Amino acid sequence: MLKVFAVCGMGLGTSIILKSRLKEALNKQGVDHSLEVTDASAVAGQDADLIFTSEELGEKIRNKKAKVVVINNFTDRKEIGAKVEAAVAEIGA
Amino acid sequence: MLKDYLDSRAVSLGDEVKDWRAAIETTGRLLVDSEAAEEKYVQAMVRTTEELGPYVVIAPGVAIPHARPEDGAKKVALGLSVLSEPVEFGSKENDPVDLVFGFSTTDSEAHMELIQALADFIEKEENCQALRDAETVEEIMAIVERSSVNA
Repeated sequence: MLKVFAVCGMGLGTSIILKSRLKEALNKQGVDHSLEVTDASAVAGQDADLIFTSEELGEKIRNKKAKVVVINNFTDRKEIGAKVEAAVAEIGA
Repeated sequence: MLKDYLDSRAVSLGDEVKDWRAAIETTGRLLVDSEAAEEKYVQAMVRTTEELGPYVVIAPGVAIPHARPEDGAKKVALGLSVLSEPVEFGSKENDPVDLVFGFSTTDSEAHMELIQALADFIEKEENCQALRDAETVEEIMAIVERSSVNA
């Protein structure tokens, strides 16, 4: 199972949109996964495979194992779907 | 539906602001004027955005600043300020911003429908363009209403 994290700020705005878009893309592509939302500092110690976040927060993420994917437009299903597909293919899940 | 959360008193256009702080204050003021939030919510929105940074800029030209429920939110509501000239928020990919959707929520779950509807609205570039082209509050309300019907 792929361990996916959405790294966000406060959990009220952007993170809700990102989580729902990611869930939709992962389910659509039939990826067996877990999906959690956390912040940039908390994700450092997590056993994660894939981390999705914004450009600015991406620079703050220190997680040696996971692949970090930067999302630019959090509302765009096409962008998020394509990035999920590419990342899943790359890590061979 | 998005229209259920947008009071026409919480919409303004042609707003002239000098920077992102003023843009957020303008949007926060709309939430206060439409009785969605207390006075203190406005500065809390500015502080929250300082903490979160350009992360509130979720799509090209679009920001969704907010504060916490305990910062004086009175209900789940949306406000919209359309800026006359876009301003920088510090987002590498999505600056400059001219559509500022402020929102308030009474707890971390109460605004789920609002936020999903807002994301779907913003995802359609033609909706954002229509807001930028609108000349009256009534036009903006009609755009939001139409999108709610088609959603």
